[in-house]
Amino acid sequence: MFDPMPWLILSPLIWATLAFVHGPGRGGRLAVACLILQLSLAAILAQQVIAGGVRMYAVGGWGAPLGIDLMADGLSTVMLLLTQTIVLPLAFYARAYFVGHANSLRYFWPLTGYLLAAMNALFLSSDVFNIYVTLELLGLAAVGLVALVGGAGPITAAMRYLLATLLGSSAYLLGVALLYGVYGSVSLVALKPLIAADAPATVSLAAALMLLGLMLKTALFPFHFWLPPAHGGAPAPVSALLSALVIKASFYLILRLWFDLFAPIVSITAAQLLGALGAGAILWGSFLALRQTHLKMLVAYSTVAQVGYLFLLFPLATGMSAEVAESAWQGGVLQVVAHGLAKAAMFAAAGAMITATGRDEISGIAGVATRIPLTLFAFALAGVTIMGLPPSGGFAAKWLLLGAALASEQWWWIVVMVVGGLLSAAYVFKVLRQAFLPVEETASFQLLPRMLEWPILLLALASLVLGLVGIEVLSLLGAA
Amino acid sequence: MNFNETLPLLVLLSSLLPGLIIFALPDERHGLRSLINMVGSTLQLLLIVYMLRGVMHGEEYIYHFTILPGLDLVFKADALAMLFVPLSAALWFLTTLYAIGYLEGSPHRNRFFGFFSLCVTATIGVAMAGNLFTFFVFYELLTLSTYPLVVHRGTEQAMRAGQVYLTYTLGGGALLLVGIVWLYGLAGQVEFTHGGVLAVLWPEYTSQLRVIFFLLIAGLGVKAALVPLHGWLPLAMVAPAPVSALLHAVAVVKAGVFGIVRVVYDVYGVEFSQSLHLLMPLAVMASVTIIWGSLRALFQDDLKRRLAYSTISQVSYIALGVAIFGPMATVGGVVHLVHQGIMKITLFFCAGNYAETLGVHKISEMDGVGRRMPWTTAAFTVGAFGMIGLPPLAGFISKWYLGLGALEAQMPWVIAILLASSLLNAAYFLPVLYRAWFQPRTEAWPEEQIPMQNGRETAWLLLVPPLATAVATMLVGLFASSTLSPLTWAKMIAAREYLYWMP
Amino acid sequence: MSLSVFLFLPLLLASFVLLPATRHISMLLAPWAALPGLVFALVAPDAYMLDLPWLLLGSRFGLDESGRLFLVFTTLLWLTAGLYARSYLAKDPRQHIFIAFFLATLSGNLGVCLAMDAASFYLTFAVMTFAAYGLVVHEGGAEARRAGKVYLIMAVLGEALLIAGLLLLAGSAQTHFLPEMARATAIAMPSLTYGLLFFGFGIKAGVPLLHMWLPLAHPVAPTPASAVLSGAMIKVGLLGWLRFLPLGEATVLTLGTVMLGLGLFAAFFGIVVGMVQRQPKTLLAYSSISQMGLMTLAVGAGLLLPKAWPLLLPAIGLYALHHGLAKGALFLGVGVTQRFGCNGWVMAGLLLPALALAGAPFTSGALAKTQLKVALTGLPTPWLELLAWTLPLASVGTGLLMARFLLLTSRESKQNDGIGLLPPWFGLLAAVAALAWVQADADTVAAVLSGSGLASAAWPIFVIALISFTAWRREWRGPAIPPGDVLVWLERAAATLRCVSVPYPFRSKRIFTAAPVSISKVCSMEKILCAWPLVGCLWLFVLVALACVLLEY
Repeated sequence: MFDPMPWLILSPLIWATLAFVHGPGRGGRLAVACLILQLSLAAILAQQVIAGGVRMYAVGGWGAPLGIDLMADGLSTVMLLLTQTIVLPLAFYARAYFVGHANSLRYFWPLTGYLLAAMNALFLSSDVFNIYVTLELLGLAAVGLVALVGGAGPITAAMRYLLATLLGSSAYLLGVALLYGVYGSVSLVALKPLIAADAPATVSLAAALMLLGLMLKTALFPFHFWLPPAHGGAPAPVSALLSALVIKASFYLILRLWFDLFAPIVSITAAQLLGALGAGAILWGSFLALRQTHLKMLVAYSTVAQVGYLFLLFPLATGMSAEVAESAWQGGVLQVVAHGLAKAAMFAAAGAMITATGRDEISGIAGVATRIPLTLFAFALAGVTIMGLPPSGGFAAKWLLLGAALASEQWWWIVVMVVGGLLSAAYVFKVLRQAFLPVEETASFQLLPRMLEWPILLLALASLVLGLVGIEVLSLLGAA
Repeated sequence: MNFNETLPLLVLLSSLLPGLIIFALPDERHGLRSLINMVGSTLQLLLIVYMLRGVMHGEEYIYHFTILPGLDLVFKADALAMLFVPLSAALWFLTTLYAIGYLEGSPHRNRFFGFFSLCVTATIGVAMAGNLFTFFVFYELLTLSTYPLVVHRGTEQAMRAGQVYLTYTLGGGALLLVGIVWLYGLAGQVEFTHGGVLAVLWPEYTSQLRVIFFLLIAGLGVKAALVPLHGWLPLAMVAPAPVSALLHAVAVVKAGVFGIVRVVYDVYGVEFSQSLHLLMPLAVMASVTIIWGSLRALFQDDLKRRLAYSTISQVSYIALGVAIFGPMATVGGVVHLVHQGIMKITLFFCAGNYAETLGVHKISEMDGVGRRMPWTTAAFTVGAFGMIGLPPLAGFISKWYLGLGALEAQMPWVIAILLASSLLNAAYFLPVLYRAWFQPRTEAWPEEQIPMQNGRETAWLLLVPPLATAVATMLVGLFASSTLSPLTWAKMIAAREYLYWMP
Repeated sequence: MSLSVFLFLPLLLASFVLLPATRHISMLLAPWAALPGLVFALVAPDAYMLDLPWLLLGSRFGLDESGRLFLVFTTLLWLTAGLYARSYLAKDPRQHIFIAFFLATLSGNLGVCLAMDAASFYLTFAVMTFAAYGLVVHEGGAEARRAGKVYLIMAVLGEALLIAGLLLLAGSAQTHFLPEMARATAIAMPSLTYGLLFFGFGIKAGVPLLHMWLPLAHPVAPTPASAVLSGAMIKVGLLGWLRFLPLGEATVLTLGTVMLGLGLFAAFFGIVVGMVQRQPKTLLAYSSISQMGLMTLAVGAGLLLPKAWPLLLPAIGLYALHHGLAKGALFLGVGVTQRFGCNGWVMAGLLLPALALAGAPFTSGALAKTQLKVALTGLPTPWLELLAWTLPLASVGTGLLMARFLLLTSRESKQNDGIGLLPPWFGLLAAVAALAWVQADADTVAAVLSGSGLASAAWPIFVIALISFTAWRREWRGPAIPPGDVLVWLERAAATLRCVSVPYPFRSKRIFTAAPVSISKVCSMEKILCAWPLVGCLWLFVLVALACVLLEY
């Protein structure tokens, strides 16, 4: 039987290298072609997982502990599928966006390719050390992308990002080392049965270090300091990639560690701590998003806030009855998917609006509603998901999370979610409202190519339709 | 999937698709746009007539679609839905006609008509929702699709109104969501069923059910503009007249109050609600709203603002009818759903005519307007008299049944509320009529845009809709006891909700 | 079917009058619009009934004895007034508007006589009331506007009281069809219901304190409208009581007493205040209040004494007929003196209804008063004695009022162009003279024509003549009480209230006030949060916290 797993990692590596060699023009076309291929590979993998459960692949025929094992279960397949789905339209978008910026484009494709390879590898890896490697690769590629356009602002942001991501990775590595010291293994499969509730203190410390490193990389409040400048300052396609996917990679790892590896030692108190940080993120991020004057900064802070929702899953799923835990878990994953799609659309739309108006302040986008209604419509649709209004994916996620919170009688999370939803509505409409304002006829306005608008709409629609097909995603997630 | 299942979807699509197509059309293609609009709404009306026939003969139209485990989208055309759906569709038809005339020559019409169709789709979705979840989906869609309509003019005032509107409605939506999720947690998937479904949860969840009821009503009360959640409505009247007309008559306000009807009758069950002592607070709230809205209306000089406060007051009649325990009150409340719709839309159409034809926005500018625009003013008079509750107009029928219901429920104080409301209605409508008909005109019109032509006071498209609804106001009142009247339909609904009652 | 046609006919004519194309022909037909009603009243079979189940809440129209009586004098008055109006308003450029309102009011007034269920009664009552507003304000000017305003306020108040009363009644009777509805209520009914009905109809009937609109509205309307207002429409209040109160079924002690007392008070109140009026039409309006007081009194007696009702009902009917026709003739007479002038024939014509009201021998007044007196004989003690001397006193008072009226009219200036007013007026005078004799029962006719009857009717006339002559010689004018009496105080009080500007506390506040300064301070916290040292410390802190929390297990 054909196994798509290694190809998912190899393909981006190959086209990244080729794009570097052949330059942006041919590289871009190659990237798009390969991305289509990758998407079908991910789809095939999803079919196989649904049909046959968890799939393992021993690279080069050498199994663990000597060789490297690739593993695909429901969660990682969902993440893979999400990644390819988001990157493909963004690739089209980027080709249109970077017209006239050949210099940036030259490095865009290779860096994106490596980023993608790292990410796919991360989702498929089954040992904590390989994960560290992919994490590091991912971080470096992301930093490179942030610095793509050059200039003082982006470089500062990139440096900040680099330091943060290095700090995060090293903390994670420290944790891995401690684990290896105790158990002599880095394989998830091998470690899992070894860690029990009475594990030594070192394990707990390792867990704390690893989780915290990842939290830093996920930009959980109060470690979000690096995110807004990095995401807000990067070119729009990069912001979209970073906000939609890169932070989700580290969150995916937290999920893995929390629910797989460290499940016996995690405590309700720890979960509440994570939840509290998430709540802080929701409130603080939304509040600051509301106060931003620049469009992309607003969207970036919105990411800070939305990350908070992801962390609410821990208090809702830890130590609760199986039913509640499952509902929370499903809600969390749906939120990952929905937010990924919506945030990619939102950043892309913001980029398109900025390109069209030539101004990056929110006050500059007046008149967008009449000039580029399609983009604004896409932004609004993505906003619907961010606000968690029906029938979007964000709503389905929130529904499940709310249900879990109510069932476990943790009403304080409900308050946080509701207030966060309202705040997000406030900042989304802050943009929409401005877009509806009339503008003088004299204002300069650049017409947008079609390829800059339609991919955004596609992403936004996907985030919306997710609400209607959520059950498919959940069935894939549940396939184990 | 057989035809009966797809029919509700087709009804939704018949307004959704025109909306989407219109978005894609360029702004200049007004002929094509109007055509698509009219074809859509005519088609919708035809489908609804077919469905009405079916429902009368006991057919069931249900469509299920699973979104998440334990979470279905359900569309169902039951008797209550089929009271609201034809109203929305018919008034959409008229309002579209009116809007074509009203917005002639103004910019961004494709955006306007697109959202207009979406708004109607949402309303019809609300009406046909078969469970709370589906209801919520369309309830929020309604919020989103009306926002662009409210801020359509793009003025500072409109923007502020839009902001307030969103603050209120999204806040309400959030409360509603919490309530619904909680209820789903307790009772699982709650389908709307005659007589309610929650009685099985008695007695261990009583207090929880009370809290949920409070959440639901608070969430719905925002759109239904129950005092003190009504602040957005008077501001939202800055929208163009067709929007206000639709907003006040069918779309937003009605969606809220229709939700209350659904929650009380088809979720909790009216008898169960009564046994939980939930109806009395609702009745008090509705009564306060009735009086308060009328009192505030008295002091408005802006015609549309006065009408807006009047809406606050009138819509609560429906809530009041729901909150009074007894079939007669149910009949009164439910039938007012239709009656208030046609009366209020008449008034708003007329207000729009004054503004569009003569530039008259304020009541103090209305001196002698009856001589200049007799037909419009006649329609306005019919609407106003209906609101006061004079026979043989629609409002009288509702009031009569509400009053009888109050007596049946041993709540004679409600009569006093109705009485006070009638008096206040008279107090704020009659001066308007007096100015229009009996005060002589001494100065020129503020801004006469449509001159008098061949004895025609304004454009045809502006004149026909208010006249049609005014005539409807008279007909539904005069022929209230005939077999096809809303009253008869409402009696049928009441008979299904109260299992022991025969009309 | 015929019934619905003639109810609808005036409305149809009204709309034709408003349309320029059909105005001419329909204006010709308009004066005759009441004729089918009159014919119907005369030829309809006994206990005529028409059910229209699809109309309103399910409607019923019908004609019982009192309905027929009311319909007869109502249509007669309207017919006369219509013919009179054709000449009276001949030079009015806005006469078609008057006629349209006139016809609409007519259709309401006809309908109310025939309505046999609560909803259509209320409907026709409302049509009549609101259409009459157009009649009241037709002349224009400040006075008419004020009168119209007061009329409208009181009318709306009346409608509101009425709908509440009808609702309460229908609620406990479980039906809204008429004979049953009033009958079923005899069992147990909160006094509130009857109170509401009494005051609701009482506004129309000019019960004291609810009468303010009457002396303003009746005089200010064009004369033919005043005639129907004071002659026919004021009786609709009475008809309402007859229809909806449990008369002859149950004793309602409180309301009966109140009605008796108020009626008696009104009888004298109208006379006293009317006496000092300067306008003949205002005086007539006050006289109407006084006369309606007598009828109110009789209805109150019916409530106290159900057994006497079979006697009282025809007496009240006769009195309504007599007063309606006489008062209509007087109002029309005022118009005649104003337009045509005041020669001997006209004065003689005015004298007839004036004498009738005073209850002079051989007039309809004598008949009506005698029959009423006989019917009232069964009353319990304090009332019987009280009425024994107050009723003749009231007759004397009315006579004096009429004398004053004649005096005032004789001073009217004249324009000499009202020849067309005479035929309808004389027609009505003939009805005043004749119709009561047809209606009164044989005993009454006999009693009136007997010696003692003649004598008891005659002596007040002499007293009246004596007093009036004396007063005339001394040129007594009396203190001036403005029309509307208590209303003037009310208006003053309202004006005072308005001057004390009450701060209106409930203005909608701005929801989004300017952001307080502290918000920007909160925002600057983000800068601190983004500083490396703090983030580092926080990170370490969370690390320790997380490790500790995990170690707990």
